[in-house]
Amino acid sequence: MREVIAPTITLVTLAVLPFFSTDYLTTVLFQALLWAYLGSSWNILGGFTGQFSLGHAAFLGIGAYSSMILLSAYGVTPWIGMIVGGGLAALVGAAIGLISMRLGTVFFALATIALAEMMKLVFLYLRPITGGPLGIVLAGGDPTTMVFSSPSHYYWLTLGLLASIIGFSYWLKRSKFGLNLQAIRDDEDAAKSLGINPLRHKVAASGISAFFTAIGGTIMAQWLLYVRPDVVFKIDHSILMAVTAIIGGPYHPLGPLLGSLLVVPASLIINSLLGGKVIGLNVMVYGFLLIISPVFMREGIYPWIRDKLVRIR
Amino acid sequence: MKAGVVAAVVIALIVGVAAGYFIGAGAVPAATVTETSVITQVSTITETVGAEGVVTETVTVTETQVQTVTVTETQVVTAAPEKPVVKLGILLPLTGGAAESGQEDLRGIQLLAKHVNEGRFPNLRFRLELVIADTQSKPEVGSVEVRNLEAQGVVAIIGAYQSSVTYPSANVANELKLPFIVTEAIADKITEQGWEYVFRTNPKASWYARDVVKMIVDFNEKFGTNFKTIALIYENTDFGVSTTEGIKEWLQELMPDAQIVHEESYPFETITSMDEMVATLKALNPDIVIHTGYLRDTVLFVQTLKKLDWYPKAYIGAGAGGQARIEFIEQLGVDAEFVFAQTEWQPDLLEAPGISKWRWVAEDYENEFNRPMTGSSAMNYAGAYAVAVAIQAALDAGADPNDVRGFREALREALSKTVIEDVPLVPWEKIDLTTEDRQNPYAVIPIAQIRDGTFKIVWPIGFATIDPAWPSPAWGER
Repeated sequence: MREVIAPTITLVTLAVLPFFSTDYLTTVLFQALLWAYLGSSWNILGGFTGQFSLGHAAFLGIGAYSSMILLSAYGVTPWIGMIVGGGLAALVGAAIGLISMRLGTVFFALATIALAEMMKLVFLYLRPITGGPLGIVLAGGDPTTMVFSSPSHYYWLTLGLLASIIGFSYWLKRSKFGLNLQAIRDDEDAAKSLGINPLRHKVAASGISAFFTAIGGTIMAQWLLYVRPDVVFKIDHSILMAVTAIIGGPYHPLGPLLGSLLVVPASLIINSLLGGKVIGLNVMVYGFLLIISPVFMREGIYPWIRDKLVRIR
Repeated sequence: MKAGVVAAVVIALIVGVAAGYFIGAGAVPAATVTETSVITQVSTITETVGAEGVVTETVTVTETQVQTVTVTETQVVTAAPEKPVVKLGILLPLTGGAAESGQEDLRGIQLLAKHVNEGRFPNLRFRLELVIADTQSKPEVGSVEVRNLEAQGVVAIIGAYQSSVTYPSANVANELKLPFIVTEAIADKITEQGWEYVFRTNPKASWYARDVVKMIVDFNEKFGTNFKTIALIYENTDFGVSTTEGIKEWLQELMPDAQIVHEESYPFETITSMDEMVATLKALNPDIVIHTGYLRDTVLFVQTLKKLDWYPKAYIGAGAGGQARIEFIEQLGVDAEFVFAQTEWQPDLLEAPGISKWRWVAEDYENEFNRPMTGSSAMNYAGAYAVAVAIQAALDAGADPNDVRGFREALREALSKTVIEDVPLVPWEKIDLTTEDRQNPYAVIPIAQIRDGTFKIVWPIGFATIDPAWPSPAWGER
C-alpha cells in the first residue's frame, strides 16, 4: 500500500498543475512529461535490461510517421494510428535486437545509432509515402484526430500515458519477467546459468521499449502538427531519452520523471530567460548543469534523494 | 518508501517554484496610467515626408486611407512629447544548426529597430522594443518560445528562419491571435493553412522555379529572341528534383511552346565525369540549359562545357545553388563569365535603380556590425520595415500599445491592409500583404549574370544593374 503513495502524490500534483499554470509553463511541463514518458520507455531497455540504445529516435519517428501517414492518406485517427505505429516500431525494435544484441552492448549501441540514421534516409527517399524532406503537414484537427486547442489537453494526455508506463515499470520491477531482465543486466552469465534465455528477454525488452517510444512519437507529431525526417530522427532525441533516465536514476520507475523534470524545464526556461540576451549563454548554462549534476548525484536524482533520506533517518 | 514520498514532495516543490515564478513574471502587466493636467493636441501629419540626407518615403497603408492622417495625442504638459513604445517579438535560431543565418536575420531587424528609434523614418513615429528569443533551431523550442513572447506582451512576432520551426510556431501564434510575420522561411505550406494572423513578406519555395522561367520569357521578349528548346540538368536529391519539377510546371504555364529536349539527373556527391552528359547536350544543341546543383558539380559541368567546346545560348543556375556562390567564380575564373545564377541577394543590388537610395542602410549596417550586408539581413530589414509601417497604421487608427490584445487585433487588421511601394534593399516591386493568403506576391528571387568576376543583377529587369549578354557568346568568341 505504502508503495503507491509516492507515485500517486506525484501524479495528482502533476494532474492539477495546469489549473494554476500559464499556457507557457504548461507547454514547458508538457514537454517535460513527454520526455519523462519517452525516457521511461527507453528505461525499459536501457535501465532495467542494461542495453544502451542511442537510436530510440528511430522508434519515435516510426510512431510519428505511422500515425501521420494513416491520418493524412487514409483518414485513420491517430488514436488507432499510434497503436499501429507502436506495433511497427516493436517489430523493428525486436529485429534490431535480434540482429545486434548477440554482439554485445557496445555493438548494440552502435547499431541503434545506425538504425536511426538509416530510418532518416529511408523516410527521406520514400517521398510518395512520406512526403520526402518536406514531410507531412496537418492543416489542423479536433480531439478525434488528437489535435487540441489548449496545451493542457496535450499535457493531460501525456500524463495519462506517463502514469501507465510508470505503472508498467513498477510491475516490471517486481514481475518475474522484469526480475529476469534485471538479472541479465547485472550478470548475464549468472542469469544464463539460472536457465534464463538472455537473448529472448533482451529482444522482448527492445520490442516493448520501442512500442512505448513510438506512441510518444505520435503525441509529438500531433502536437507539432507535422513530421519531417530531420525533425523526428534526430540523435538529440535519442540522447535526451537516455539523459532523462540516467540523470534521474535508471533503476527506478520514477527516475526518468525526476530526470526529465530537472533537465527539460531547465533547458527551456534557461532558454527563455537567457536565449535572447547573450547569444549562446543559454546553451552553456544548460550544458554546465548537465555536467555537474552527475558529479553530485552519481546514480541519479532518485538514489541521491533516497540516500539523503537514509542519513536523516 | 519514505524516499518515494520525499521524491514526490521535491518534484512538487521544483514545479511549484517554477510555476510561481512564471505566473508572477509571465503575466502581462495591466497598464496603469497616471495623468496630471492633460491637454489634447491634434496634429496633422503627411505620410509622404522627405528628410535631409534620408529618403523620401511613399507609404501606402490602405487603399481607402487618405494620405493625410489626423492623430490625436494625449500628452502630459510638463514632459516632452514621448513616442509610444511597441514591443516586437523576434523568434530566431541564435544557437544550433541554423545559428549563423538566424543571427544574420537578427542583425537586419535590429538595424531596422535602430533606424526607427533614431527617427530615420519620418513616417514611423514610435519606438520599437525588441524582445528576442532563441529557437535553438528546434521546432519544439520555437513553439514554447511563442508562448513566452506572448506572455511578455509583444504585439507581433517576426520569425523563425527555418520552415521546420516556423510552421509549428506560426500555428501556435495564430491560435493565440498573435500576428506572426514570416520574413525568410520559404516552405509553401506556411501560407496555405488559412492562418489569419500569419503573413509572409519573402518569396516562397515554388517561386524559385517560377522566376527562372519568367526571366527567360522576359528576355525573349526584351531581346526579340525565341529561345525555346530547353535542357534540364539537376542533382538527384530533393533540391534538384523539386526545383526541376517546379520549372517544368512553370514552363507549361508561362512558356507553353517551350520544348524540353533533354532531362538528366546525377548524384552530386559521387559524379566525377560529365563528358557523356555534355556530349549529348552538344548533339541536341538546346538554346537554354537550366542546371540545379551544388558547387562541385556545377563547376565540373562548366569545365566540361569548355572541354567539349560547346556553350548554350544561356546557361542558367536555378535554385540559388552552386552557381550563386562566390567559390563558383573563384574556382572557374574567367570561364564563369556569362553564367546566369539565381541568387537571393547580392551587394550589386545596392547599385540597382530603386535600391541605390537605400545604400545608407547598408553603410550603417557595416558601421554597426563591422561586416558587409547580407541577403538574410536585407530581407529581414525589409520584412521588419513592413511590420513597422503596419504598427504605425495601427497606432494611427487609435490602437493603444498598452492594451496588448487590442493592439494585436488592430495590427492584424493593419497588416492585412499593408502595401509598401518602396521596399528597402530587396528587388521587390512592392510588399503587398492584402492578398487572400497574406503572402506578398511581389517577392521575387533575382537572377545575376557573372560579369568581370562578379554577380551583376540582370533580372527583375526593373532592378537590373547591367544589360545581360543574351545570348551568351560561344567559347571562341570571348
